[in-house]
Amino acid sequence: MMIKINNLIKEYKGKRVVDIQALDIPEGMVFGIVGGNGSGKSTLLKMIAELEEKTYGVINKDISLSEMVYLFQKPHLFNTSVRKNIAYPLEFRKWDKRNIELRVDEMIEKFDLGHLSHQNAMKLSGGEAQKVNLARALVFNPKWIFLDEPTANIDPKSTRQIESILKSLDINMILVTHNLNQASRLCDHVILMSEGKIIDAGQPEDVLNNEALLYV
Amino acid sequence: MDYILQGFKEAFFLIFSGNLEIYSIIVLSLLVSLTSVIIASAVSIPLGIFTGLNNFRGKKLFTRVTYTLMGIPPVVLGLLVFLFIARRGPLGFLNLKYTVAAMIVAQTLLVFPIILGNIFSSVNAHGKVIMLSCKTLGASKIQTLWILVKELRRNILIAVVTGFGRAISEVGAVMIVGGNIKDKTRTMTTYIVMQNSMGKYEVSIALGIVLLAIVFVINGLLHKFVGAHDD
Repeated sequence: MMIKINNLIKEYKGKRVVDIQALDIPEGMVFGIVGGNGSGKSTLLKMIAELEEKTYGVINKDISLSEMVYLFQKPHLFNTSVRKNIAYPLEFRKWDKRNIELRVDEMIEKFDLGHLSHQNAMKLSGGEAQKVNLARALVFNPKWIFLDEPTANIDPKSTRQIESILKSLDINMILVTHNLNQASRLCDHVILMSEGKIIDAGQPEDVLNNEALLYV
Repeated sequence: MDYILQGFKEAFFLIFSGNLEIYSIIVLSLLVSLTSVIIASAVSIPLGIFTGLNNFRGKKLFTRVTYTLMGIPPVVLGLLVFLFIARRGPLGFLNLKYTVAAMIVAQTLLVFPIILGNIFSSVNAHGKVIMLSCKTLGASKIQTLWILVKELRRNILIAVVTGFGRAISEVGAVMIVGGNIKDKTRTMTTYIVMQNSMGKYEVSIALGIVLLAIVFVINGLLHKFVGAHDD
Protein backbone atom coordinates (compact mmCIF):
# COMPACT_ATOMS: atom_id res chain seq x y z
CA MET A 1 0.00 0.00 0.00
CA MET A 2 1.48 3.31 -0.96
CA ILE A 3 0.62 6.77 -2.18
CA LYS A 4 1.50 7.38 -5.83
CA ILE A 5 1.52 10.88 -7.27
CA ASN A 6 1.72 11.70 -10.97
CA ASN A 7 1.84 15.08 -12.71
CA LEU A 8 0.35 16.87 -9.73
CA ILE A 9 -0.22 20.58 -10.19
CA LYS A 10 -1.77 23.17 -7.93
CA GLU A 11 -2.29 26.74 -9.05
CA TYR A 12 -3.46 29.73 -7.04
CA LYS A 13 -4.63 32.69 -9.09
CA GLY A 14 -2.48 31.63 -12.02
CA LYS A 15 0.62 30.98 -9.91
CA ARG A 16 1.91 27.40 -9.81
CA VAL A 17 2.55 26.49 -6.17
CA VAL A 18 2.97 22.72 -6.55
CA ASP A 19 4.37 20.96 -9.61
CA ILE A 20 5.36 17.35 -9.07
CA GLN A 21 6.12 14.94 -11.90
CA ALA A 22 6.17 11.71 -9.93
CA LEU A 23 6.37 10.76 -6.28
CA ASP A 24 5.88 7.43 -4.50
CA ILE A 25 5.37 7.43 -0.76
CA PRO A 26 5.77 3.90 0.57
CA GLU A 27 4.11 2.68 3.74
CA GLY A 28 5.92 1.62 6.87
CA MET A 29 8.09 4.70 7.25
CA VAL A 30 8.17 8.30 8.35
CA PHE A 31 8.26 10.28 5.13
CA GLY A 32 9.47 13.85 5.43
CA ILE A 33 8.65 16.81 3.22
CA VAL A 34 11.16 19.57 3.88
CA GLY A 35 11.32 23.07 2.46
CA GLY A 36 11.20 26.75 3.23
CA ASN A 37 8.15 28.98 3.57
CA GLY A 38 6.05 28.98 0.40
CA SER A 39 7.79 25.90 -1.02
CA GLY A 40 4.43 24.14 -1.46
CA LYS A 41 5.03 21.42 1.13
CA SER A 42 1.88 22.05 3.18
CA THR A 43 -0.25 22.40 0.05
CA LEU A 44 1.08 19.05 -1.19
CA LEU A 45 0.20 17.41 2.13
CA LYS A 46 -3.29 18.94 2.13
CA MET A 47 -3.92 17.63 -1.38
CA ILE A 48 -2.85 14.13 -0.31
CA ALA A 49 -5.22 14.40 2.67
CA GLU A 50 -8.04 15.65 0.40
CA LEU A 51 -8.30 18.92 2.29
CA GLU A 52 -7.29 20.91 -0.78
CA GLU A 53 -8.44 20.51 -4.37
CA LYS A 54 -5.75 19.79 -6.92
CA THR A 55 -5.69 21.74 -10.17
CA TYR A 56 -4.48 18.81 -12.20
CA GLY A 57 -2.89 15.37 -11.79
CA VAL A 58 -3.37 12.08 -10.02
CA ILE A 59 -2.97 11.03 -6.41
CA ASN A 60 -3.49 7.28 -6.10
CA LYS A 61 -3.93 5.81 -2.68
CA ASP A 62 -5.82 2.73 -1.66
CA ILE A 63 -6.91 4.23 1.64
CA SER A 64 -10.17 5.96 2.39
CA LEU A 65 -10.63 9.31 4.10
CA SER A 66 -11.70 7.55 7.27
CA GLU A 67 -8.36 5.72 7.56
CA MET A 68 -6.20 8.83 7.53
CA VAL A 69 -5.94 11.94 9.64
CA TYR A 70 -4.36 15.35 9.22
CA LEU A 71 -2.79 17.26 12.05
CA PHE A 72 -2.90 21.01 11.49
CA GLN A 73 0.02 23.21 12.41
CA LYS A 74 -2.20 25.22 14.73
CA PRO A 75 -4.42 22.73 16.53
CA HIS A 76 -8.10 23.49 16.29
CA LEU A 77 -9.59 21.90 19.34
CA PHE A 78 -13.29 22.10 20.00
CA ASN A 79 -14.68 24.32 22.75
CA THR A 80 -15.32 21.52 25.21
CA SER A 81 -13.36 19.31 27.60
CA VAL A 82 -10.14 17.54 26.61
CA ARG A 83 -11.90 14.21 27.13
CA LYS A 84 -14.80 15.13 24.87
CA ASN A 85 -12.36 16.37 22.21
CA ILE A 86 -10.61 13.02 22.14
CA ALA A 87 -13.95 11.21 22.01
CA TYR A 88 -15.27 13.11 18.98
CA PRO A 89 -13.70 10.98 16.19
CA LEU A 90 -15.21 7.87 17.83
CA GLU A 91 -18.61 9.51 18.12
CA PHE A 92 -18.39 10.44 14.44
CA ARG A 93 -17.78 6.74 13.75
CA LYS A 94 -20.73 5.81 15.96
CA TRP A 95 -18.79 3.71 18.45
CA ASP A 96 -20.89 2.69 21.44
CA LYS A 97 -20.52 4.71 24.63
CA ARG A 98 -18.72 2.08 26.67
CA ASN A 99 -16.06 1.48 24.05
CA ILE A 100 -15.61 5.24 23.61
CA GLU A 101 -15.00 5.62 27.35
CA LEU A 102 -12.48 2.77 27.40
CA ARG A 103 -10.58 4.01 24.36
CA VAL A 104 -10.50 7.63 25.57
CA ASP A 105 -9.19 6.45 28.96
CA GLU A 106 -6.47 4.54 27.14
CA MET A 107 -5.43 7.59 25.10
CA ILE A 108 -5.49 9.89 28.14
CA GLU A 109 -3.17 7.53 29.96
CA LYS A 110 -0.88 7.03 26.96
CA PHE A 111 -0.52 10.78 26.40
CA ASP A 112 -0.33 11.58 30.11
CA LEU A 113 -3.34 13.90 29.96
CA GLY A 114 -5.08 12.71 33.13
CA HIS A 115 -4.64 16.04 34.94
CA LEU A 116 -6.20 17.91 31.99
CA SER A 117 -8.95 15.47 31.13
CA HIS A 118 -11.88 17.62 32.33
CA GLN A 119 -10.35 20.98 31.50
CA ASN A 120 -11.71 23.05 28.59
CA ALA A 121 -9.45 22.47 25.61
CA MET A 122 -9.45 26.16 24.73
CA LYS A 123 -7.55 26.93 27.92
CA LEU A 124 -4.54 24.71 27.22
CA SER A 125 -1.00 25.86 26.45
CA GLY A 126 0.38 25.34 22.92
CA GLY A 127 2.22 22.15 23.88
CA GLU A 128 -0.72 20.66 25.78
CA ALA A 129 -3.09 21.52 22.94
CA GLN A 130 -0.87 19.76 20.40
CA LYS A 131 -0.71 16.67 22.63
CA VAL A 132 -4.51 16.60 22.82
CA ASN A 133 -4.64 17.19 19.08
CA LEU A 134 -2.38 14.20 18.52
CA ALA A 135 -4.35 12.00 20.94
CA ARG A 136 -7.58 12.98 19.18
CA ALA A 137 -6.06 12.23 15.78
CA LEU A 138 -4.84 8.78 16.82
CA VAL A 139 -7.82 7.69 18.90
CA PHE A 140 -9.52 5.88 16.01
CA ASN A 141 -6.39 4.01 14.91
CA PRO A 142 -5.83 5.64 11.51
CA LYS A 143 -3.50 3.91 9.06
CA TRP A 144 -1.86 7.16 7.97
CA ILE A 145 -1.19 10.38 9.78
CA PHE A 146 -0.23 13.60 8.02
CA LEU A 147 1.57 16.11 10.20
CA ASP A 148 1.95 19.73 9.18
CA GLU A 149 4.70 21.36 11.27
CA PRO A 150 3.44 19.69 14.46
CA THR A 151 5.90 21.48 16.74
CA ALA A 152 6.10 24.86 15.00
CA ASN A 153 4.35 26.83 17.73
CA ILE A 154 5.43 25.05 20.87
CA ASP A 155 8.25 25.22 23.41
CA PRO A 156 11.33 22.93 23.31
CA LYS A 157 10.18 20.72 26.19
CA SER A 158 6.80 20.04 24.54
CA THR A 159 8.58 19.54 21.21
CA ARG A 160 10.68 16.77 22.77
CA GLN A 161 7.55 15.15 24.23
CA ILE A 162 5.68 15.30 20.91
CA GLU A 163 8.69 13.92 19.03
CA SER A 164 9.09 11.06 21.48
CA ILE A 165 5.38 10.20 21.07
CA LEU A 166 5.74 10.33 17.28
CA LYS A 167 8.79 8.05 17.41
CA SER A 168 6.87 5.49 19.44
CA LEU A 169 4.02 5.26 16.94
CA ASP A 170 3.63 2.32 14.63
CA ILE A 171 1.82 4.12 11.84
CA ASN A 172 2.47 5.41 8.32
CA MET A 173 3.45 9.03 8.66
CA ILE A 174 4.11 12.00 6.41
CA LEU A 175 5.76 14.89 8.19
CA VAL A 176 5.99 18.39 6.77
CA THR A 177 8.61 20.50 8.48
CA HIS A 178 11.03 23.33 7.89
CA ASN A 179 13.06 22.13 10.86
CA LEU A 180 15.95 20.17 9.37
CA ASN A 181 17.08 18.73 12.70
CA GLN A 182 13.60 17.46 13.38
CA ALA A 183 13.47 15.90 9.92
CA SER A 184 16.75 14.07 10.53
CA ARG A 185 15.59 12.94 13.99
CA LEU A 186 12.24 11.58 12.85
CA CYS A 187 12.25 10.75 9.15
CA ASP A 188 13.37 7.63 7.30
CA HIS A 189 13.19 9.31 3.92
CA VAL A 190 12.82 12.96 2.93
CA ILE A 191 12.11 15.05 -0.12
CA LEU A 192 13.32 18.62 -0.39
CA MET A 193 10.91 21.10 -1.99
CA SER A 194 11.47 24.54 -3.43
CA GLU A 195 9.00 26.66 -5.41
CA GLY A 196 6.58 23.76 -5.63
CA LYS A 197 9.08 21.28 -7.04
CA ILE A 198 11.04 18.39 -5.58
CA ILE A 199 14.69 19.30 -5.84
CA ASP A 200 16.16 16.38 -3.93
CA ALA A 201 15.11 13.13 -2.31
CA GLY A 202 16.73 10.38 -0.26
CA GLN A 203 17.99 9.53 3.21
CA PRO A 204 17.76 12.51 5.59
CA GLU A 205 21.53 12.66 6.16
CA ASP A 206 22.17 12.83 2.40
CA VAL A 207 19.46 15.33 1.50
CA LEU A 208 19.92 17.56 4.50
CA ASN A 209 23.61 17.96 3.77
CA ASN A 210 22.85 18.88 0.18
CA GLU A 211 24.26 22.17 -1.00
CA ALA A 212 20.90 22.95 -2.58
CA LEU A 213 19.56 23.62 0.90
CA LEU A 214 21.57 26.83 0.97
CA TYR A 215 19.31 28.17 -1.73
CA VAL A 216 16.01 27.04 -0.24
CA MET B 1 -33.77 67.97 39.67
CA ASP B 2 -36.89 67.39 41.77
CA TYR B 3 -39.03 66.51 38.81
CA ILE B 4 -36.55 63.78 37.83
CA LEU B 5 -36.63 62.23 41.31
CA GLN B 6 -40.40 62.58 41.37
CA GLY B 7 -40.46 60.95 37.94
CA PHE B 8 -38.47 57.93 39.22
CA LYS B 9 -40.72 57.63 42.30
CA GLU B 10 -43.87 57.62 40.22
CA ALA B 11 -42.24 55.34 37.69
CA PHE B 12 -41.66 52.62 40.30
CA PHE B 13 -45.21 53.08 41.55
CA LEU B 14 -46.50 52.68 37.97
CA ILE B 15 -44.49 49.52 37.36
CA PHE B 16 -45.82 47.77 40.46
CA SER B 17 -49.31 49.31 40.45
CA GLY B 18 -50.86 46.73 38.16
CA ASN B 19 -51.63 49.31 35.47
CA LEU B 20 -53.07 47.17 32.70
CA GLU B 21 -52.28 49.66 29.95
CA ILE B 22 -48.59 49.68 30.85
CA TYR B 23 -48.49 45.90 31.10
CA SER B 24 -50.20 45.41 27.75
CA ILE B 25 -47.72 47.82 26.13
CA ILE B 26 -44.81 45.83 27.60
CA VAL B 27 -46.32 42.53 26.44
CA LEU B 28 -46.97 43.88 22.93
CA SER B 29 -43.42 45.22 22.66
CA LEU B 30 -41.99 41.86 23.67
CA LEU B 31 -44.34 40.00 21.34
CA VAL B 32 -43.43 42.14 18.31
CA SER B 33 -39.68 42.05 18.97
CA LEU B 34 -39.46 38.36 19.85
CA THR B 35 -41.60 37.32 16.85
CA SER B 36 -39.47 39.44 14.52
CA VAL B 37 -36.23 38.02 15.92
CA ILE B 38 -37.50 34.43 15.69
CA ILE B 39 -38.60 34.87 12.05
CA ALA B 40 -35.40 36.72 11.08
CA SER B 41 -33.21 34.13 12.87
CA ALA B 42 -34.95 31.20 11.20
CA VAL B 43 -33.88 32.52 7.81
CA SER B 44 -30.67 34.42 8.55
CA ILE B 45 -28.88 31.75 10.64
CA PRO B 46 -28.91 29.04 7.91
CA LEU B 47 -28.31 31.66 5.23
CA GLY B 48 -25.38 33.16 7.17
CA ILE B 49 -23.82 29.71 7.66
CA PHE B 50 -24.27 28.81 3.98
CA THR B 51 -22.91 32.09 2.62
CA GLY B 52 -20.07 32.16 5.16
CA LEU B 53 -18.89 28.66 4.30
CA ASN B 54 -19.19 28.71 0.54
CA ASN B 55 -17.54 30.70 -2.19
CA PHE B 56 -19.95 31.91 -4.85
CA ARG B 57 -20.12 34.53 -7.54
CA GLY B 58 -21.06 37.88 -6.12
CA LYS B 59 -19.95 37.06 -2.56
CA LYS B 60 -18.19 40.42 -2.25
CA LEU B 61 -21.32 42.26 -3.37
CA PHE B 62 -23.42 40.17 -1.00
CA THR B 63 -21.10 41.12 1.87
CA ARG B 64 -21.24 44.82 1.06
CA VAL B 65 -25.03 44.89 0.68
CA THR B 66 -25.52 42.95 3.94
CA TYR B 67 -23.17 45.19 5.90
CA THR B 68 -24.83 48.30 4.44
CA LEU B 69 -28.29 47.05 5.38
CA MET B 70 -27.06 46.38 8.94
CA GLY B 71 -26.90 50.12 9.38
CA ILE B 72 -30.15 51.09 7.67
CA PRO B 73 -31.97 53.80 9.66
CA PRO B 74 -35.19 52.32 11.10
CA VAL B 75 -37.21 55.35 9.91
CA VAL B 76 -36.10 54.76 6.34
CA LEU B 77 -37.00 51.11 6.55
CA GLY B 78 -40.31 51.99 8.21
CA LEU B 79 -41.04 54.42 5.41
CA LEU B 80 -40.28 51.79 2.75
CA VAL B 81 -42.52 49.21 4.43
CA PHE B 82 -45.22 51.88 4.84
CA LEU B 83 -45.08 52.73 1.13
CA PHE B 84 -45.60 49.07 0.28
CA ILE B 85 -48.47 48.46 2.69
CA ALA B 86 -50.22 51.83 2.29
CA ARG B 87 -53.63 51.65 0.65
CA ARG B 88 -52.23 52.71 -2.72
CA GLY B 89 -49.07 50.59 -2.35
CA PRO B 90 -48.42 47.23 -4.06
CA LEU B 91 -49.39 45.33 -0.89
CA GLY B 92 -52.21 47.69 0.09
CA PHE B 93 -54.82 44.98 -0.47
CA LEU B 94 -53.48 43.14 2.58
CA ASN B 95 -54.74 45.94 4.87
CA LEU B 96 -51.61 45.79 7.02
CA LYS B 97 -51.27 49.50 7.70
CA TYR B 98 -51.29 50.30 11.44
CA THR B 99 -51.39 46.66 12.49
CA VAL B 100 -49.18 44.51 14.69
CA ALA B 101 -48.39 42.38 11.62
CA ALA B 102 -46.95 45.43 9.84
CA MET B 103 -44.77 46.18 12.88
CA ILE B 104 -43.50 42.59 12.89
CA VAL B 105 -42.74 42.81 9.14
CA ALA B 106 -40.80 46.07 9.61
CA GLN B 107 -38.81 44.80 12.59
CA THR B 108 -38.09 41.47 10.89
CA LEU B 109 -36.63 43.32 7.92
CA LEU B 110 -34.66 45.55 10.27
CA VAL B 111 -33.03 42.78 12.33
CA PHE B 112 -32.61 40.29 9.47
CA PRO B 113 -29.41 41.89 8.06
CA ILE B 114 -28.03 42.41 11.57
CA ILE B 115 -28.29 38.72 12.46
CA LEU B 116 -27.24 37.65 8.95
CA GLY B 117 -24.19 39.94 8.87
CA ASN B 118 -22.96 38.83 12.29
CA ILE B 119 -23.39 35.12 11.54
CA PHE B 120 -21.85 35.48 8.07
CA SER B 121 -18.80 37.26 9.42
CA SER B 122 -18.09 34.66 12.15
CA VAL B 123 -18.66 31.67 9.87
CA ASN B 124 -16.52 33.31 7.19
CA ALA B 125 -13.71 33.78 9.72
CA HIS B 126 -13.82 30.48 11.63
CA GLY B 127 -16.01 28.10 9.64
CA LYS B 128 -13.44 26.70 7.25
CA VAL B 129 -10.96 25.55 9.88
CA ILE B 130 -13.77 23.89 11.87
CA MET B 131 -15.03 22.17 8.73
CA LEU B 132 -11.59 20.88 7.76
CA SER B 133 -10.94 19.63 11.31
CA CYS B 134 -14.25 17.77 11.26
CA LYS B 135 -13.55 16.33 7.83
CA THR B 136 -10.16 14.94 8.79
CA LEU B 137 -11.60 13.47 12.00
CA GLY B 138 -14.20 11.57 10.01
CA ALA B 139 -17.37 13.61 10.56
CA SER B 140 -20.27 13.36 8.12
CA LYS B 141 -21.77 16.53 6.64
CA ILE B 142 -24.57 16.59 9.21
CA GLN B 143 -22.12 15.98 12.06
CA THR B 144 -19.89 18.78 10.72
CA LEU B 145 -22.83 21.18 10.61
CA TRP B 146 -23.77 20.28 14.17
CA ILE B 147 -20.20 20.85 15.40
CA LEU B 148 -20.06 24.13 13.49
CA VAL B 149 -23.21 25.40 15.20
CA LYS B 150 -21.93 24.20 18.59
CA GLU B 151 -18.54 25.84 18.09
CA LEU B 152 -20.07 29.11 16.94
CA ARG B 153 -22.96 29.10 19.44
CA ARG B 154 -21.53 32.12 21.22
CA ASN B 155 -21.39 34.12 17.98
CA ILE B 156 -24.88 32.95 17.00
CA LEU B 157 -26.29 33.93 20.39
CA ILE B 158 -24.61 37.32 20.27
CA ALA B 159 -26.02 37.89 16.77
CA VAL B 160 -29.55 37.03 17.91
CA VAL B 161 -29.32 39.11 21.08
CA THR B 162 -27.94 42.07 19.11
CA GLY B 163 -30.93 41.73 16.78
CA PHE B 164 -33.32 41.61 19.73
CA GLY B 165 -31.69 44.65 21.30
CA ARG B 166 -32.14 46.54 18.06
CA ALA B 167 -35.79 45.45 17.74
CA ILE B 168 -36.92 46.20 21.30
CA SER B 169 -35.25 49.61 21.37
CA GLU B 170 -36.35 50.69 17.91
CA VAL B 171 -38.95 53.44 17.54
CA GLY B 172 -38.87 54.88 14.02
CA ALA B 173 -40.14 51.94 12.01
CA VAL B 174 -42.88 50.81 14.42
CA MET B 175 -44.08 54.38 14.77
CA ILE B 176 -44.50 54.77 11.00
CA VAL B 177 -46.07 51.40 10.17
CA GLY B 178 -47.88 50.85 13.50
CA GLY B 179 -49.06 54.38 14.14
CA ASN B 180 -48.84 54.17 17.98
CA ILE B 181 -52.55 53.39 18.30
CA LYS B 182 -53.76 52.96 21.89
CA ASP B 183 -54.53 49.36 22.88
CA LYS B 184 -53.54 48.21 19.39
CA THR B 185 -50.07 49.08 18.17
CA ARG B 186 -48.56 51.03 21.05
CA THR B 187 -45.12 49.79 22.14
CA MET B 188 -42.82 50.91 24.92
CA THR B 189 -40.67 53.05 22.67
CA THR B 190 -43.51 54.79 20.83
CA TYR B 191 -45.25 55.38 24.17
CA ILE B 192 -42.10 56.87 25.69
CA VAL B 193 -41.80 59.31 22.77
CA MET B 194 -45.45 60.29 23.05
CA GLN B 195 -45.49 60.73 26.84
CA ASN B 196 -42.23 62.63 26.73
CA SER B 197 -43.63 65.10 24.19
CA MET B 198 -46.60 65.60 26.52
CA GLY B 199 -44.28 66.23 29.49
CA LYS B 200 -45.36 63.07 31.37
CA TYR B 201 -41.87 62.01 32.32
CA GLU B 202 -42.83 59.45 34.98
CA VAL B 203 -44.37 57.12 32.37
CA SER B 204 -41.36 57.59 30.10
CA ILE B 205 -39.00 56.82 32.98
CA ALA B 206 -41.04 53.78 34.03
CA LEU B 207 -40.95 52.28 30.57
CA GLY B 208 -37.29 53.25 30.18
CA ILE B 209 -36.53 51.27 33.35
CA VAL B 210 -38.50 48.29 32.04
CA LEU B 211 -36.66 48.46 28.71
CA LEU B 212 -33.29 48.54 30.45
CA ALA B 213 -34.33 45.68 32.73
CA ILE B 214 -35.33 43.56 29.73
CA VAL B 215 -32.01 44.16 27.99
CA PHE B 216 -30.20 43.44 31.28
CA VAL B 217 -32.04 40.16 31.80
CA ILE B 218 -31.43 39.06 28.20
CA ASN B 219 -27.72 39.85 28.52
CA GLY B 220 -27.56 38.04 31.86
CA LEU B 221 -29.15 34.96 30.32
CA LEU B 222 -26.67 35.10 27.44
CA HIS B 223 -23.70 35.28 29.78
CA LYS B 224 -25.07 32.46 31.89
CA PHE B 225 -25.63 30.27 28.85
CA VAL B 226 -22.27 30.98 27.23
CA GLY B 227 -20.47 30.81 30.57
CA ALA B 228 -21.96 27.41 31.32
CA HIS B 229 -20.29 26.07 28.20
CA ASP B 230 -16.96 27.67 28.97
CA ASP B 231 -16.23 25.44 31.96
